[in-house]
Amino acid sequence: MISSMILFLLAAFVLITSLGLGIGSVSNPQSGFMPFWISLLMLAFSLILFVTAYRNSSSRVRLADLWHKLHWQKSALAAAFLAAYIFFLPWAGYLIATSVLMIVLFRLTSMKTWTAALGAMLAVFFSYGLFSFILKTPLPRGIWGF
Amino acid sequence: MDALNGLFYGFSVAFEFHNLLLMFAGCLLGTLVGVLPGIGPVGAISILLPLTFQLPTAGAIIMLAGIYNGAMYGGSTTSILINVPGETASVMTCLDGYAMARKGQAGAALGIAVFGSFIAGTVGLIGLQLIAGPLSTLALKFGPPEYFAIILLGFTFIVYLAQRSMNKAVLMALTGITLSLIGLDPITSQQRLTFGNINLFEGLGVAPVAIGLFGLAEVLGNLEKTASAKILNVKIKNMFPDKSQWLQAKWAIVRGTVIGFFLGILPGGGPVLSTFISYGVEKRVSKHPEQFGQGAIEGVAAPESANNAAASTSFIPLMTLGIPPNVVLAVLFGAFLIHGITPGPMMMTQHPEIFWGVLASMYLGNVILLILNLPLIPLWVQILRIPDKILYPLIILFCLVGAYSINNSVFDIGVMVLFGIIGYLLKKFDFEAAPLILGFVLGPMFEVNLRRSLLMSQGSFGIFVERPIAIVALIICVILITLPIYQAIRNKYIVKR
Amino acid sequence: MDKIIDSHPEAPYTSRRVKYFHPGDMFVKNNHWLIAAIAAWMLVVIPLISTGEVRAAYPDRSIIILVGFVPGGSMDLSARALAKSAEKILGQPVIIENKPGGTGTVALAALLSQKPDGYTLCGTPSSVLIRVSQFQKVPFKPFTSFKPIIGFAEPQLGIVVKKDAPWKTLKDLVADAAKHPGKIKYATTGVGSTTQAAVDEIAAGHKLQMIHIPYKGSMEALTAVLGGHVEFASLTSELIPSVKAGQTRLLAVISEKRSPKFLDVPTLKELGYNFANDAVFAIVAPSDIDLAIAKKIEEAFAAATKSREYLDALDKINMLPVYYDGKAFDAFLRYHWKVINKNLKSTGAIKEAATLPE
Repeated sequence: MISSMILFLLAAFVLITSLGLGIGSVSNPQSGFMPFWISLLMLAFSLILFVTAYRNSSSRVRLADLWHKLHWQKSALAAAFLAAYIFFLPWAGYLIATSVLMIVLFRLTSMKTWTAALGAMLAVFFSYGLFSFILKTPLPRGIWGF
Repeated sequence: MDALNGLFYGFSVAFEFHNLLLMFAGCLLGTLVGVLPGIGPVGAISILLPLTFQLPTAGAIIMLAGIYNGAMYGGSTTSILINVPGETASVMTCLDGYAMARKGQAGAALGIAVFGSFIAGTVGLIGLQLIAGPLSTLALKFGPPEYFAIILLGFTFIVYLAQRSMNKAVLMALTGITLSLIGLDPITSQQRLTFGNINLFEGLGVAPVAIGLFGLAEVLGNLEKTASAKILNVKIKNMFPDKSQWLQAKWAIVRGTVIGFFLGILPGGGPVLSTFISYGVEKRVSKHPEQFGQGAIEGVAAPESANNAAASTSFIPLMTLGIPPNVVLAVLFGAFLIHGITPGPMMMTQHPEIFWGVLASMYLGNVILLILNLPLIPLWVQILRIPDKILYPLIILFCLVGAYSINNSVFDIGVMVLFGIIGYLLKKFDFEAAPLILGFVLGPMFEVNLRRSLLMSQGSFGIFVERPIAIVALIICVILITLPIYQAIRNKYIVKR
Repeated sequence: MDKIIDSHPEAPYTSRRVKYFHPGDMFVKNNHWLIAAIAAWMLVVIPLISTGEVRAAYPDRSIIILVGFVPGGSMDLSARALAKSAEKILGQPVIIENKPGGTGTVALAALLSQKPDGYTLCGTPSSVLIRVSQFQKVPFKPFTSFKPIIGFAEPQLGIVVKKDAPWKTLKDLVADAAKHPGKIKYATTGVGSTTQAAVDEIAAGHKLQMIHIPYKGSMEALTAVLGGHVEFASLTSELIPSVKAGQTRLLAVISEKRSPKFLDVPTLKELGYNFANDAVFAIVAPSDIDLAIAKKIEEAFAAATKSREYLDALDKINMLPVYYDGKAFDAFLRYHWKVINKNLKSTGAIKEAATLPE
C-alpha cells in the first residue's frame, strides 16, 4: 500500500511536469508527450495496486514484519555511511574517505578493529594502485590534491 | 560475409593472444560470480565495465560475454552443493541438484549440469551464427514503426512473463521508462526532470543504476541476515554421469535447449525465465513427476541446459536489432555504447571483428568452461568458505569504484548508492528490479521511435497498421494483454458458480 | 525466489549465533583502537602521495585534459591523438580524463573549478560552447569564461543519399523536393545540430517543405538512409566508411574547403549556400590562466598538430586536421555564435539564447 502511494506520487509529479513541458499534438509530439502518457498509465496501475492491497488487507504483511528478526540496523547504517561518504568524498579525496568507509564497513560485518583497519588499508591500497597506475583512471582527489 | 567465412574470421580474432586471455579471464571471473551467492552476472558486468576501457572493443566485449556465459555455468555449483543459488538462473537447479547431492550423487549432478550447459550453449551459438546474418539484413528494413511495435511487444512480454505480480511488473517497467525520461529530450533537446542540474542532462547512466540495483542492493539485503549456509561435506567423485543417467537426462537436455533457445530471443525472456519454464515442462512430461524435488536428474539437466541456450541466443536481438532482450544484455548494450559502437543492423558489416570475434570466442568459451569446470569445483568450494564479512565490504568497494570510474563522476556514485537503497526497498516490498532496468534501457528507444513514426506519418496512427511487421507485433501484444484479463474474468465466473 | 528455497522441506540454514547487533557497539568498544588505526593509516598514506608544490618552469608535472565525452568517441580520440604528440614537445605526460555528461558541459564546468595553473585544460567541440549553451542554461559564459588555446580538428560533415537513389547532385535533390512538398524525409544527428542547420540553410534558400526525422548520432541516421526510411541524411564522420564502401553517395560536404578524402565533391559554399561546419574541436583553458603559460601551451600544441604521427592518427579516426590559433578561435566562436543564434531563432528552436555569451 505504501509502495503504491509512493509510485502514485511520483507519477503525479511527472504528470504535472509534463504539462509544463508541452504535450504537443499527435502530428508533432513535444517533450511532454511521453511523460504525460506514461504518468497517466502509472497513476492507473498504482491505483489498481492500492485497491488490491486494500482489499486483501487481512492477509497483508505489516511493515514491521518485513524487518522482523533481521539485523536491519546493519543495512541502515551501511546506507547512511555510504551517503556520508558521497558527501565527504569530493572534499577528503578517495584515499582518506574510502579508508574510513572501509574500516566502518568491516566493523559492521563484525570484524575486530585491527583486522578491519588492516583490511581497509589493503583494499584501498590495491584499488588505488589498480586504477591510478594500471588503468590510468584518476580516482577523486580532495582539496589537498590527493 | 557468409556464416562460415565469418566464423573462420571470428576464430582468427578470437585466437589472438590477448583476446584468448581475456576470454579465459572472463570465463573464470564469470564462473566465480556464478559461484558466489550475492553477486550475479549483471552486477559483475556492470562493476567490471570500467576495467575494460583500456581494452580494444572486441576484447572488452569478449571478456564481458565470457562473464555472462561463465556465470551460467558456475551458478549450478552452489545450487547443488549448498542449496543456495549462485545467481537467479540457478534457482531451479537447487530443487533436484541439492537433493541429488544429499543422496551422494553430487558428482553426477554437477557433471550433467556442465555437459547440459555445454551442449545447449553450443546449439544456441549455432543459432546465433545462422540467424544473425539474415536477420540483420532484414532489420535494415525496420523503420521507426517496426521498432516501436517490437519494443512494445518486448514490454508486453516482460510484463506477461513476470515472475511475481503482473501489476507490479507493469509499475516497475513504467517507473523505468519514467527514469529514462530524465535528461534532454532526444528530439527537441529540451530539459526534462533535470532540475537544471547539468549532471542530469544526459540522464542517469545505465551502469550506476544497474550496479546499485543488482550489486549494492544485494549486499545491503544480505548484511542483515545472520544465517549462513552450510556447505555439504561431500566427496565429489565420478563426475561423469553413468549411462542410465544419461539416457534419463537426454530428452531433458534437448527440451531445455529448445525452450532456452526461443525464450532467449524473446524480449523479457532470457536465462532466468527459461529455467522456470523448462523445469515445469519436465515435471509435466515426466512419467514419474513425484521424483521431482527428490533428486531427479532431469530436474538438473533441463534448467541448466535452458539457461545456457538462452544466454547464447539472447545475443541475437542485441546484435541484429540493437534491442537488448534481458537485463544482462541491457548492461552489455551500455558497454557497446561506452566503446563508441551502437549495436544494430550495421554492426555485422561495420564491425565484423566484434560480431564474429565475440561469437567465435563464445564457442571457445564453452569448450574451456567444459574443461575447466569439472576440475575446478573443489576450488570453488574453497572460495565459498570466504566469510561474508570480508566479501561484503569488498563488493561495496567494487561498486563504489565501478560507479565512479565509468564517467569519473562522484555524482554517479550518488546515483549508484541511491539505487542501491531503492533496490533494497524494492526487494522488501516484493517488486522485481528487472522490469525496471529493462524499462529504463528500452524507454528512450520506445519514445523516439513512437515520435519519429508520428513525425513520418504526420500524426496518423495508420502507419502502425499499414506495415506488416508492425501490425503482427501489435496483434500479438493485444492477445497477450487480453489473455490474462480474460482468464481472470473466467476464473471469477467459475468461483462464483 | 527465496520462497522456493525456504519452502524446501530441509532448507539447510543453520542459524549461527543469534547475537543482536547494536549499532552503538561499534564506536563505544575499542574506540581508541579505531582512532589509532585511522591515524596510523593516514601517517602512511599522506606522505606517500602528497607531492611537494615546487615552483619550477612550466610544465614540471603531468597535464590533464578533461574531455566531456566517453572514451572512444571522436572528441576523445582526437584529443588523445593531440595529447600523444604534445607530450613529446612538452616533455611531460598529457593525460586525458573523461568527464562525460551534460552533452559536454560537465567537463567545461569541471575545468572552471580547477586552479588556472595550466595543468588542467579541457578539450571540447566548439558546438558545446556556442550551440549547446544556447539551448541550455550552462554554468559558464561561452566567450569570457575560457581562454581558447587551439582549434585542431573537425569532423567530416556531408549530405548523403542511398547508392541507388535517383539524385546524382544536390541540385537534383533540391529540384525534386521543390516539386513534391512534404514528401521528402531527411535524417540528421539531432534537433539543433550543425547537420540540421545545414539542411535548414538549403531549405530556406528554396522555401522547401521537407519532413525532418531527428536521430541520435550519425550511425542511427546512416542506418535510416540505408534502410530507405528517409530520402537523404546530413551526417558527420560516420559517412566516410559508407561512402567509400559504395553504400551511399555523397552529394555535398559541409566545410570551408573540399575534403581531402573526396576531392570531387563540392562544398555547400560552392553550391551557393552560405554555410560551413561550425563544430571544430578545440582545447581551452580557464580565462584567468597566466598568459605566458597559455602561450607556451599554444606553441606546443601548434607544433604537435604538424607532426606526422598526429596527422596519421586523425586520418585513422576519420577526422580532418584544421588549425586555429587562440585568437583565431576566439573570433571563430564569436562569429558563429551570432550565426547560430540567428538560425535557431528563425527556425523556432529557441526564443532566446539560454546562456548569455559574455
